[in-house]
Amino acid sequence: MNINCRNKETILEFFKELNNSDKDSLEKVLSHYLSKTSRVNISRPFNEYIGARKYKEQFFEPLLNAFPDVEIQPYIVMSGTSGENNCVCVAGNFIGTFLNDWLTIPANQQPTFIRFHATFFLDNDKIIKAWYFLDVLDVIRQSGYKLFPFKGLQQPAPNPMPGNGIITYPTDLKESEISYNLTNAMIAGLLEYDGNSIESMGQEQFWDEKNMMWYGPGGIGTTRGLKGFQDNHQRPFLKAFPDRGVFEEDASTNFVNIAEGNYTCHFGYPIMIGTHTGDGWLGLKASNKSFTIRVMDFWRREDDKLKENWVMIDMIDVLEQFNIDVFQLLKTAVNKK
Amino acid sequence: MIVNSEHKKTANKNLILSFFKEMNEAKNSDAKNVLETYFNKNVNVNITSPFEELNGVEEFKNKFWMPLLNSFPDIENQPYILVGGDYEERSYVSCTGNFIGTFTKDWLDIPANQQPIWLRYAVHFMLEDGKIIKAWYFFDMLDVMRQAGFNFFPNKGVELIPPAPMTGDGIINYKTDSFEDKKTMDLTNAMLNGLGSYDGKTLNSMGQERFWDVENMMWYGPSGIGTTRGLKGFQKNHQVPFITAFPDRGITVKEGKDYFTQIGDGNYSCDFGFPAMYGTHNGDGWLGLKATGKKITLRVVDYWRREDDKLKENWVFIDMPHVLKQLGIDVFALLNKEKQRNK
Repeated sequence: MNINCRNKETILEFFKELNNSDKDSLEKVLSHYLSKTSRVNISRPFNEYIGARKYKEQFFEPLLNAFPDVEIQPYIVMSGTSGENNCVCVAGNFIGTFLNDWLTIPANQQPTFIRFHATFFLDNDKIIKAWYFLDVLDVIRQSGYKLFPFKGLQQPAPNPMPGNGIITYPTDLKESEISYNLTNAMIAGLLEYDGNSIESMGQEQFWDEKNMMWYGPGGIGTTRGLKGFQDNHQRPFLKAFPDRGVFEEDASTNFVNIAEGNYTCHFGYPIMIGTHTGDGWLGLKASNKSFTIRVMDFWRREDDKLKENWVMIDMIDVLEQFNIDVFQLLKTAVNKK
Repeated sequence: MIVNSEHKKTANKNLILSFFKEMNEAKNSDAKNVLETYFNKNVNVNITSPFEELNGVEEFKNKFWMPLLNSFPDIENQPYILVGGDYEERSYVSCTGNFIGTFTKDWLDIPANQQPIWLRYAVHFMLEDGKIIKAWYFFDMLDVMRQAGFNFFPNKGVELIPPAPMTGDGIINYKTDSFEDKKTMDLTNAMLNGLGSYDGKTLNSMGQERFWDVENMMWYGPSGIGTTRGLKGFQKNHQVPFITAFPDRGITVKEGKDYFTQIGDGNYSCDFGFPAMYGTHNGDGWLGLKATGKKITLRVVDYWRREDDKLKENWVFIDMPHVLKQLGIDVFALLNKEKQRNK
């Protein structure tokens, strides 16, 4: 079995064992799948955790305490070699009943979908590095608090329409290459932005203009069609960050750019840089601050166009760089209720 | 004989998938052609409230499809469960998923919000000689109103657009093992029989823990009720309020009725009735309502996914405006009143 298939199986087994574990067996499962010096980075308010124990204490234990029946349900699992490293990229949800407060978010006793994207780098069947994006703003929304005015539709992103996102079937290298080239041509188009007109990016060449779905993070939301995407995400974003650009990607584990079958994944921690010089995005006034953005995207290609795009941005990290503390806002909102 | 029925089942499913595909690609002016390709000219179509019964392709097109295409010009049908099979020697294909479209013009008096909408549906097709001769559509109408910004009833579960099956294998265009088909159907019917054993007092009399993934089951109910998780969540947020309101609820007579079907296909099962249940509204609380003492029938369709020997996911449709109407509540009148107030 090739290394990428084996790594996907390892990650799916890891999820399965985590779903079947309890507080007592958790550390054993984590120690089995993570290397001793593993580094796990989780989007804000989490940090970097070295070794299985810290990961367990800082991330899993509070999660299990708040959502005792939590289970991981991925809907995209793909793999590839990025730079010199083998990785598995995952999109999905932690689904659980929100019984006790989590990260100061008030428990609402209801099923909650904690949307996540994650990248795992593996070596010799062990996870040596992992990056998680969690849509914490959307959990705050689900628990009943709206902190920012949004343009797109707020909901947990759906599974891929054809249901084939967990790639445990053989794919054709040629198809993977078509997906890779299309995605990277689209990204190159984004960088052609001339600072004035949205047309300068020529995005209609790459997307299913009528039916594309863009599943953005909580605070931005979901958009449909190229026009919906432009109106509800691209314009407000470019207005706020007109000089936004990308970091030069290297072969390190901070970046991923892979394709498998009809799916692609692009990831950087951080990947973008910009200055906040325009008003309106998330209802905010320009802060004129320079900042970086952590992003992880998945795309699904249908024929020769991109049809679905799952996007996670570490929104809390971005807002922190504008001196906005989401948890302070939440505290104020909770006290008001 | 088995080979023949397997062959027919596959052909019928392919026919429906090809209908969906053609309809997604059709321009408004082609809609009639596409419909005529797949439906018998005199097809009888029942659609949940406010549509009711439509007869013939022409009326189906004019009353249902044209207003839909007008309000959601980019609409596309994205199914996530499709099962098929015979019941009492009638052939069916049953399907659930979403129509996804941008809500650009008012639909059925619901104000357009210029946002993408998930119009959740279930449809049951009865086929003969490669044509659809009868169809029943369910729409989650209260959920469209919710997405457009109108909430009329306090819901106990979570209001969200139910997800596709966790395993992504709901469109059964692959070969299933007839042993697994039967296993799923038997588990579903054992669970339904359990529901029927309700002693009028205790939840335990239904013994539901024998049939469900007690910790992780997901129950995706219609808007107004919402989504629940775990047997406890299901009992607290749906079952208790429901049986408090309709303590005598039961199953309508089904023998020989073409509007009733059960299908087991791989790990999936489906139970459909138009109507499927009856009851008397004798208790307070459900949807925030006081008991009316009225007798009602319920149009219901359920899809289940089995994982090993337990039911794990359940997609449920009830024609809520139809139930409410029988209780003397006209949801569309509520909507119009609310619209006036917002003006």
